[in-house]
Order: sequence, then C-alpha cells, then structure tokens
Amino acid sequence: MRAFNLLILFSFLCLWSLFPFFLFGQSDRNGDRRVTATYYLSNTTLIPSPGKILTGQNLLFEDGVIKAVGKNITIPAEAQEIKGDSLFVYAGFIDMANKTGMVEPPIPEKPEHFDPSQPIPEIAGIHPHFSALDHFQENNPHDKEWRKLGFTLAQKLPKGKGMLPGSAALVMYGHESRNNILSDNQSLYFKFSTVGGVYPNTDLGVMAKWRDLIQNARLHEMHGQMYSSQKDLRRLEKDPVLEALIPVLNKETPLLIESTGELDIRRALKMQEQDKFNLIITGINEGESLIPLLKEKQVGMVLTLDLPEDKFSDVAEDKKGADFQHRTERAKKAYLEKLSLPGKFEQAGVPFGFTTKHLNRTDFLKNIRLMIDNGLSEEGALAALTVHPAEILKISAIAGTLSEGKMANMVLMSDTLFSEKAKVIMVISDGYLFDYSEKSNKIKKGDMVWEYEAETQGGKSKGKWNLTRKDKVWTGTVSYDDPQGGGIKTSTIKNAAITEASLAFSFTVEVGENTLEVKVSGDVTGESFSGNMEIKGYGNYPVKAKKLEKPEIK
Amino acid sequence: MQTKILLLGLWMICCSKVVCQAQNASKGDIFIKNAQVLTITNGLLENTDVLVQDGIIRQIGSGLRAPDGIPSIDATGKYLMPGIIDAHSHLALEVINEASSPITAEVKMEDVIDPFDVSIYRALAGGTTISHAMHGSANAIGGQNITLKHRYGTRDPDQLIMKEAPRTIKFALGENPTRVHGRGKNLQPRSRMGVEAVIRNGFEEALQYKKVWDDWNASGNDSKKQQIPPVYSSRLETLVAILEGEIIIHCHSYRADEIYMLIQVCQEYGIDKIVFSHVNEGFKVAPELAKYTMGASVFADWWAYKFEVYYSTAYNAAILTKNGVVTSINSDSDELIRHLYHEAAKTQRYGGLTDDEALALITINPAKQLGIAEQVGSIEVGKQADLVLFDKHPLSIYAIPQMTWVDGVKYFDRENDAADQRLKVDPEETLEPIFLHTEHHNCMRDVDFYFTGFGRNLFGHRH
Amino acid sequence: MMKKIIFSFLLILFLFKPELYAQIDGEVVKPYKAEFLLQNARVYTITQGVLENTDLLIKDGKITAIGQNLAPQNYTLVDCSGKSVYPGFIDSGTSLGLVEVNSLAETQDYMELGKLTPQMQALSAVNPNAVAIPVTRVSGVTTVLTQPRGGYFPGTASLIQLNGYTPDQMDAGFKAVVMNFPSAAKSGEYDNRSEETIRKEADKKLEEINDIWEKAASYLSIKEKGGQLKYYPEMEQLSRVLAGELPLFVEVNAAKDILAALEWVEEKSLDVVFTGVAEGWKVADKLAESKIPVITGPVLTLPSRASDKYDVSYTNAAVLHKAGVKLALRTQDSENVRNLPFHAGFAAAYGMGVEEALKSITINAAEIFRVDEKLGSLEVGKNATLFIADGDPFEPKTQVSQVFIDGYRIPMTNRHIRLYQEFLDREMKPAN
Repeated sequence: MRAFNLLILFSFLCLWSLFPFFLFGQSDRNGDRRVTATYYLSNTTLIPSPGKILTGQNLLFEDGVIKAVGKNITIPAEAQEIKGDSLFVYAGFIDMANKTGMVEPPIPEKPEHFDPSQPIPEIAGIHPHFSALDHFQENNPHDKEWRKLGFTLAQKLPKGKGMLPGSAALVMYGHESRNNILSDNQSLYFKFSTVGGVYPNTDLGVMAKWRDLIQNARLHEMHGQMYSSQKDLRRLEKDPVLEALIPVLNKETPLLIESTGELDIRRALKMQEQDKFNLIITGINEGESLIPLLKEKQVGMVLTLDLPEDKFSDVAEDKKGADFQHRTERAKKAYLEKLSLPGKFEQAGVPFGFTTKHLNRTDFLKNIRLMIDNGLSEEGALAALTVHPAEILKISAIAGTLSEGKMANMVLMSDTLFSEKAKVIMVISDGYLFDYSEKSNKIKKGDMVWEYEAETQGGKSKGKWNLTRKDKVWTGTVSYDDPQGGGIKTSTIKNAAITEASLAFSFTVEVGENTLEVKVSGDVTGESFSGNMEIKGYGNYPVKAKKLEKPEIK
Repeated sequence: MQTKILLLGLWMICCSKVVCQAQNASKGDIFIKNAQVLTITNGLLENTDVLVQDGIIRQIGSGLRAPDGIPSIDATGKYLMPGIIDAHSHLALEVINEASSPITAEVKMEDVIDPFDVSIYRALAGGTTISHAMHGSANAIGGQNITLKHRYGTRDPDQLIMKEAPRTIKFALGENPTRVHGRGKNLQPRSRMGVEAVIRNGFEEALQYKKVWDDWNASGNDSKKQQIPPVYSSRLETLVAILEGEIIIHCHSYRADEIYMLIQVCQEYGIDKIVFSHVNEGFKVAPELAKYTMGASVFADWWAYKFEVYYSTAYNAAILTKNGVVTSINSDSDELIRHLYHEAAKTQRYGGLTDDEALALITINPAKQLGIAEQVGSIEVGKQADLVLFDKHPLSIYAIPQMTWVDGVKYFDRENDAADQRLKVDPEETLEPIFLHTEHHNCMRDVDFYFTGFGRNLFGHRH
Repeated sequence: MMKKIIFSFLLILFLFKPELYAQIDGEVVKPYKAEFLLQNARVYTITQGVLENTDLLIKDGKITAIGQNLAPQNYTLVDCSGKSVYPGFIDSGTSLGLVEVNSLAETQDYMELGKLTPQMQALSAVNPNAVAIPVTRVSGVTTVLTQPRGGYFPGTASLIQLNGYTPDQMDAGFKAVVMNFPSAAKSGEYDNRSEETIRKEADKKLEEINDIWEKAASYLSIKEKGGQLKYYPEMEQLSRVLAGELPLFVEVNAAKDILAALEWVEEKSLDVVFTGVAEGWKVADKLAESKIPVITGPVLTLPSRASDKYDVSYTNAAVLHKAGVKLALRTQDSENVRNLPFHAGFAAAYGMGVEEALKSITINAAEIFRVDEKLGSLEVGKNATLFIADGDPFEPKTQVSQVFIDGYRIPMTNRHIRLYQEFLDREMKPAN
C-alpha cells in the first residue's frame, strides 16, 4: 500500500519537474507560473509532531517534499524565503470520511414492472465497485474552504444512498493545476442506510444482505480459482459487486463503516467478528463503554467533529420548573458526554482521527476547543488531525508529521494552534503556498463591499456584492452559491442605483439552460442593508447585508 | 403547593442515580420468605420460601434457611409468581419490518435490538421478564425473531438475548401481507390464495436449494470439486432449517380459513413446530390447533380494529384452553405488556378459567411456545429465577407488582423506583416529545414507505 | 373425559339461563320492560352507602322503592342473594356507535372534514345496532358519552344509553360541544419541528380559534338583539356555547397546554369541562383551583413522556382527585368500552381507592353531564339503569348476571357470547 502511494507520488513528482518544459512554445502570458518550487521557512517555531516544539527552525521544501529541517541547514539559492519568525508551523491536517465535492453517481432507471423485492444492485444502493473518484469534482470550492482551515489531505467517500456506495479515495487539497489524487480504492465504504422502497429497506435487510454478499463473494472467488485450473466448468461470470468485496475479505482493503450511534458500532464489530476484515469506523459520536472493546479489536477509529447544539447556556426564564430542570440536567449530561468523548478515547490510549462530515466549517476550531475544555489534550487534538489519521490511512511515511522526506503539507499559524486568537496565516499543500494573511488593503474611495444573506426556498444563500463607482456610475459583481452545486459563482451587477439610504440593482443567474432575472432593492441604514430579492417568476425573498469595513481586494 | 412539592420530590429522586443499573447478564442470589407461591405447575404453595442462588431456583419449601450473605425478603401475604412471558412483542427493536419482499426469512431481529428502549423497564414494572421480539407482519414469511430477557440497564444488545431460546421465525397471513405487497407494490400475495402460494413457493425453492447444496457438498473433496459452488442464500438456508424442524414458526393470523390453510401446508411439509399468534378466529379451529400445532397466542379482548377481527370473541382464550390448545396471552404492545397479568385475568370473566389456567396463559404456556419451558415459566427447583412479587393475587384488579427479578437479579422495586429510567438521552432534546393516543402496537411499523398514496386509514391499526 | 364433564357443567349453566341460549332456530331474546323486584341484594347506592339484604323495585323504568322485605306482589322476582347491585357505569368519553370496524373508512363516522364543525351531531351518526353496543353493556357499562374527533371544533358529543332502536331512544339527555385545544407539545418522536415552530404553530392555531370565538360572539350579540342572520350553523352552535346553553368540552393533555387552556377559559364565562388531561398530575393544584371538572383517561395507557415514572397514567386520576378536582373517567375506546371497570379498578389500586373510582364512573360523571337527577346512583326516583353482579365489578373474575337500562331488562348476550356458545365444543372434530 505504502509502496503504491509512493509510486503515485513519484510519478507526480516526475510530471511536476517536467512541467516548465511543456509549454509548447507559449509564454506564460498571464503570469500564472510560480518563480520557483523551492521554499524555506526561516527561523520559525515548528511542531513536527504532537507534543514536540522546536524553536528557531528552518524548513526547506522542494517540489512538494520536505528536504531539510533544522537550525543550520543549507539553503539553496533558488529557495524563496517565507519569514517564519512569528509563526507556529504544524503538519497539514488530514480529514477522514469527507464527502465535499462528491456528486451522486447516476443510478439506472427502474424498469417497467419493477419488482422492488429483487432490484439490481445499483438500484438497491449496492455498488461497491463505484469509485469515489468517478464522481468527484476536483477543485470544488468547499475543499478550498477546508484548506483555509488547515486541511491539506482528505479521504473522500463516494456518495450514494445505500449500504455500499463504493470505494474511498485519498486526495490532496493542492494546487488546481495539478492532479491532486493520491490514491484510489483506499477503503470500501459501508453504511447502515438504504435507498428506500426496495430490498434491503432497513438495517434488518442491510445486515442480512451483507452476510449473503460476503458468502457469495467467497464462493465467487472459489469459483474463479476452480475455473483457472479446471476448464470444463461453467465460466466465471463477471460480478463487479462481489469482486469489489473480495479485497475486503482478503484484508487488502479495509471496510470503512459509518456509524450514527453506539448500536451501529456494535453492529460493525459483530460484522468484523464474523468475517475478520480490517475495520475502520467513522462518525463515532458516542460509545464510551465500547472503548476497551474497540481497543482490543484494533479498529481504526474516526470521531466526528460535529457536536450537538448547546441548548444549555441560555435557558429561557419561563421554562424553569422541577420537571424541565430535571430533563435539562439529563440532556446537559448527555451533551457533556459528547464533548468529553474524544478525551475519553485519548485517556484510554486509543488513537483516532477526526471526520468533518456533518460539521459546519465555522464550528471547526470552536468544537475542537470544546473538546479540549472537556478533557482532550492539545497534543491529542493535533494527533487526531495529523498523525493518527495518517496511521489509519497507512500514509505515515509521507504525511502526518513534519520531517525530511514527508510531503510539504503545513499549516502556518499566528499563535499556538488551539488558542483563541490563533489565525491561519498560510497553508502549504503539496508544496504550493496558499496565503490567507489579512493584507492591510484599504478600500478605494468610492468602492463598497457588502456581505449579504438571503432566505430562499433552497435555504440560506450568502455572498458578496462588490461595487465600484466610476464617473458617477456604479458597476460591480455579485457572488452567490451556484444553485446547481457548482460552488461560488459571480455575475455582473446591472442597473445599480445607490443613494445614502437605498440600494438597488439587478443581475442574472444561469441555471442550466435558464436565465433567472434577479432584482435586489432595499434600504440602507448606516452599515446595514435590509430589503428584498425578487427572482422573476419565483417570488420575493428577504435579503440582509452588511457593509464590510475592509473588503478583501484581490 | 402540593404539586410543587410532588414535582420537587420527583426531581430529587430522578437526580439520584438511576436505580436499576444491574450488572450485565449477572446472576443473583435472593431468599424470599413466607410467600404465597404460585408455582403454575404445582398449584399454590402457601407460606413458602424460595431460595435463589446464582440466578437459579435452588429450593422451595417452608422453614428454609438461607446461607449467610444472601439477601432475604419477607414476603408474608404477598404473591410470588414466575416472571411473565410475552410470546408476541416488538419492544426493544430499532426496526420491526423489512417490508421490501414477501419473504424475508434471512433477516434477524437480533441485529436491531435496542437496549435503550424504556419500554423494557416498564414491562419489568408490570412483571414481564421475557418477551419474544418479533419481526412485523408485513411479509408472508418475515424475519427471525429473538427471545429477550429484560435485563434492563445494559448497553449491550447481546446481553438481552436469552441464549437458551431456540430459533423462531415470523409468518403472517391475511390482510397485512396482502395489503403491503399486493395492494402496496403490485406483487403477490394480493389475496389469501397468494399467501399460501408464496409460502409454498418458498418451501419448494428451499427443497431445491438444499438438493443443490447437498449435491455440491458431495461432489468430491474440497480441493477438487466437480461442480462450481452454488449461490448462497441465507433466505433459503433459513427456510430449509424450518423444514428440518430447527425453527419454530410464530404465525400472525386471524381468520380460521387462513389458520387452517397453514396447518395443512405445514402438515404436508412435515412441520409441527408452529404457533399461531393473535389468531382471533382460532376458536373456530380449536380442535385442529390442539391436534397439529404448538398452540395459539392470543389477545384477551382485542377485536374490531380491522375487518379480519370483526368476528372475534373475547372468549377465544377460554375456548382454546378448554379444547386442549396450548394457549398464551400476548401483548403485541408496549402498553399491554405492562399488565399481562390483568389480560390473563380477563379470561376469568370471559369463559371462567381457573386461576391456574389463567396464570398458565402468561407463564408456562408462552414458555412452551417459545421452546424455553425447561428453563422458565414456572417456579420449580432448577429453573431460572425470573420472578415477580405482587402485593395481592395477580389476577385481582388491585394487584400491583412490587419487585421483579431476572436470573435472581432485581431489576424493579416499586419502593425504590426512580421516575426517569431512560438509559440514553438526546443531548439536544430539551423539549421532550409526548406520546398521546399513539398506537401502542407495532406489527406494521416501518412499512409506511409503501403507502404514500394510500391514505391514512390504512395505518390506523397496525396489528 | 374431563372435557366432557366441563362441557356438561357449562351446558347446565346455560340451561339455567335460557335467555342466553337460543335453543330454537331463529329465536331471539329482546329487551323487555316489566315490574322487577330485585330481592335480597347488597345495594351499592354510591350516594347513600352500601345497603345489605335490600330489595329494589323497578317500575316504569324508574327505581320506585329501595328497602328491606318489600312486598313481592305480582312483580317479576329476581333473586339477588349473594349478589350486588350497582348503578350502570358511565364512560365519559368514547366513540362507541360511531365506528364499526376501526380501520375501515366506510365505517368511521366520528370525523367530518374541516376544522370548524361544531354543529356535527354525534347522536345522528350513532348506529343503534353496532355490534359493539351489546358487547359493551353486558359488562355493566350502560351509558357513554360518544364524541366526534378532529379539528378545532369537531362537533357535538352526546350522552347515550346502550339500549334503543333509534338514536332518540338512546339519548340520555346531554350534549356538549367538543374543542381540541391547540398543543404546544412535541407530538412523538417523529415530530421534527423545532421548539420555536411548535410554539408558533400553537400560537397561530389559538389565534385562529380566538378569531372564530370573536365571530361567534358577534353572532350571538346580533342574535340576542334580534338581528337578521344568514344561516351559519357553525356560529349558531358556538353561540349556544357562548350563551351558556351548551357546555364546552376542551380536550387538552400536555401540562403546559393545560395551563394555557386554563388561561384561555379564565377570561370567558363558559361552562367548561377539561378532557384527556393526561399530564394533569403535573398541574393538579391549578386545575383544582379552577374548579373545572375533568374527564381523564384512558387509565390503561402509556405515560406521555419517556422520562415519566412508569405508573403516571395509572396514578393520574388519584393525584387529581386528591388535589380536589372533580373527576370522571373514560376509556376513549370504541369496541372495548367494556373495559371501563378495569380502568377504574387500576385507578382505584393506584391511589384513588375503590369508592372514589366507583364515583368517577357513576355519580361524578352524572353530575358533570347534569343527569344526576336520573343517573349515577341508586336512589328512588332515578332511572332503573343498573346491573347485578356476583361480586366486585372491577374484578375480572366477577360475572355480571343482569343489566337493566331505563327499566328494560337487557338480554345478557352478544356476538362474543354467541360465538362462545357455538364453538366451545365444536361438532366435526379432526379424527384421532
């Protein structure tokens, strides 16, 4: 496995170093190319692995690989300096069991006279032969947002409603000009869920179906072996579903089971007990009592970063009564149990990674801090974002820590990682630099940037209005979430009419073949806007916006 | 003011630790002195002591002496009976129906046991120590059931399983399977004819399956088979096991004709391990039930909730009993399971059963139907100490269960009963849902998906 | 052999009660009226204690005398030695007669379309020949409130006695408009609404109800002034409630809904009864203070919340009673209203006591329904609606041997009993 990964990496590196020679006679007329692929961090504070802190360090990386680390290392002339004196440098975070950028695979139509008791596997949500990579949008905006938070590598799960959606892949959050796929068929994804309306329809059917699939995969493999030596037998018919399961049975690929509660964890352990595959459980959000068992079975564990809502800090006055108080106490206890779960795993000496699935991005650091406040050590938290997932994913040789030979995946922080004031200054992924430092850009006179939020049928929609005045005419752009899921899009602002007390303009949105006319108008009071967004033919939706003091200017 | 004090008191009790945190599958010792012992198999023994050690009833008699260290209870004037057994229940299950196919013999209720269901505790508070957690009635041949011991407090579903219990499976006839598959999905069965056909098809396929595997197993040694391996099917494996007598059928049924049909089919295939459940019209074929089956498990008085139970009688249990059918009273409901002793008592109003006959309906008879009569169902030396102590005779309306033991471990004690017995609490649930006028019976849970176009009245009643 | 003996025994039992046993093809036993003298009974009067060795005379549908050693004259004598006589039990909330087979929409007559249908009359839809009626009355339950459901104002409930060929003959002389108070509680585990949404929805519903109420008030004031009004049956019926001609039965269950309902009725001078009141035990003092009578039940039901003590539904009635609430019980059933004595028995065992439990299904109910002049106790002048039992009617083993409704001697049979008679010892058994 490791050799395979390295091979991929090696081929990447070959390509990369060749890159400048493949311009086919064209100059880099937009200035996209970087000047060098060699950088060094100077005089910085380095946290090479959880629990270690080294000050005054230099770190040299070239073509995405860390070449040297130390106080006195030789810096080649082509290396560009990144001043690290005030920075804390961590290994890039690794996300597990993440689905951003994944699209639902196409599922065949149900035939006429469809018999829901005997659907073809794909209709039943049983397609372990699908690969996450076949339905992955590289460079999707979500992953870029995760990178802003320090994630440089992620295990991507395929989408799909049923029990076996396909195999997972490992991808980098690297530069969009590169192919960022690290490895395919990383593990096989299983979950206790169904498509609905066909067999299997519930966990009852899922468990039974799994047992049948496993038995038949074994028989299929046996048939294959027999057929390879005895040609007078019935030929082996291709069965992509069973064939995809054989590597799991042979412990070549782990089975990654998603859990939504401790009963799922128990079911996963029962399945492993029966069939002895390598097991990773993701989405763990409870099950303190299961820790010893999980430890004994050497299960790869992935805890969720998603935490329940805090309903206890602010309880309305009218709700206090003995009965309410009692129920609240118990719910609060359950809440605190969730917050302290990672700490419990750590104390038991059980390594685990984290998954961002279901996590609201803005809660990432907040939730980790909550876990730390409730018993998880800072080293433990860092380990769950770096070393441990690397171990579970069997990529410790190239990721998870900062040392010579590892991939140049780093997070540069303004302070120690989990302190309240810490900000991500820069993320280095695959040797590429992503600068998130706040530059002290000033607003050009006459320019405005508004951050808006609109309530539409599809939920909340957010974005920015960038407006510039030139010769008394306002022009600009509006950014919005693509209704088709294509990430952030922009459109040109037209017919802008702006006074001190009002703001109005229109723009168009392309949805498939349709063009939607959108009109925005409303009142301005100081720094805030409140008004209406009319989508022609659909209706009116309320919009609120805030004027940014320091708009980012690119 | 009084309410406030009451509420405060409740709250304080709740804040103290949940009482019943019994050890996982532990076995207990207890010495119950001077009780009115309703043995079931040996009548009423007055002023009698019962000694339990390591979860087993060791001695029954008067003037017994307990070894040191065994906790004892003075039960003077109180009635001790065996833990109540419910032969048809759906409590402690996360899922009830895998309604996607007319035959789902491969699915196992043991995969979806929910140890956090507070209904388990409530059942204990009603003296019920064993329940038969069944698949629903959506399919002609449903899933494999599991017999549970109510060891409430464990988080491990396996700790609830009664390991000694034999395998059982759910069958279902009549309106439910024909509605789900025939009307819901345009699949057979759509009629009672179809139900028979589906079951016969299943048995015939199982016989063919068995033959294919027997042939393959016989075709040379493992390294050199002469044939390719057949396809494995846990569904057909299970049906083969039924035909070979390894699994007891518990069949949801109402009408006499359908009951008789399945008796006929079973006779043809040599199956004698079959119990009919609900079996509202069982009284019409009582002699046949007595002769060919392991009995009938009925409701005390439910009727008229759907057409196939319109011609029912509350005298069903009495008629069956007097015709020599092994009869039990079941709950099929998280509510009824709380007072099966009262349900059994109704057979004294409707048919005048004796105390022994009435009590057998919820103890030794369901034990026989579940194949666990060697272990439980009566107070006898050597049996498992599942016991319940009542303040009055359990067939009296005024009787209140005081303590309940499973394997000699006390799981319920009315005197030290904390209000909130939930094992697991939703951290986001500060507004707790309330359940009013909900259907307590669950035979048709998890099949709603198939009825989006049918209108609500179809799920009004679900057993 | 044993079976034979048992059977002969039973046969003898039936032969002594010829009315139970239609020996002649096609013979039917009908209810009939006569002058009955119940002799030597233990009479549970409810209001005047228990009278031993007492006779009770039934004439023209009324109890005309209660006393020892009444002269037998030409009366039809009913020997009650060793037996007890009770007033007929009253179930204060059912849908008996309004539905034949629960799951069959064609037989469901308890719900009309629309949320404002107070003029819908349950009494009109009662089927006097519903199979469940004879099944119910042989248990001693002689009188029930049968009520419509659904919507804010589903209709008008009626008190009926369980004998009669037409609804009018069954009418026991009481009607009430039913209201479902909007609930701000989360209704079961599949209710995914947020706390805020639930509250908003309940507020909105109450607003709607208030709007309706205001309309009814204007309707009434115009009516009282003798103004011209167009046919508006909904408002007409509600205006009767506002005018105090008809009581309002408010169905409310969750504790906070009960408090909200108390507030809602406080401002209005209405004749109100609360029904359901499942979480009444949480707010019993406030209910007692309000003096609003309560009809609660079913007793044999699950606690409303997972965190509740297992027996709250059993003890609710006792808690309410002890707080001083005037209380009647209901089964809220249709086909198994016969279980009313068992609901009462459970309430008795779990703190209410037998005497109070008895009152809650006799005199208290009669008072709430304003028929205590005629029903609810055994007193001279009251209707002869009563039954004879061989013991405590709450006890399952007790047999009710005879029921009288309004002086009619009720045949002690029904389909359940006839099926028993036919199938207990069937002909044509399988060969051995």
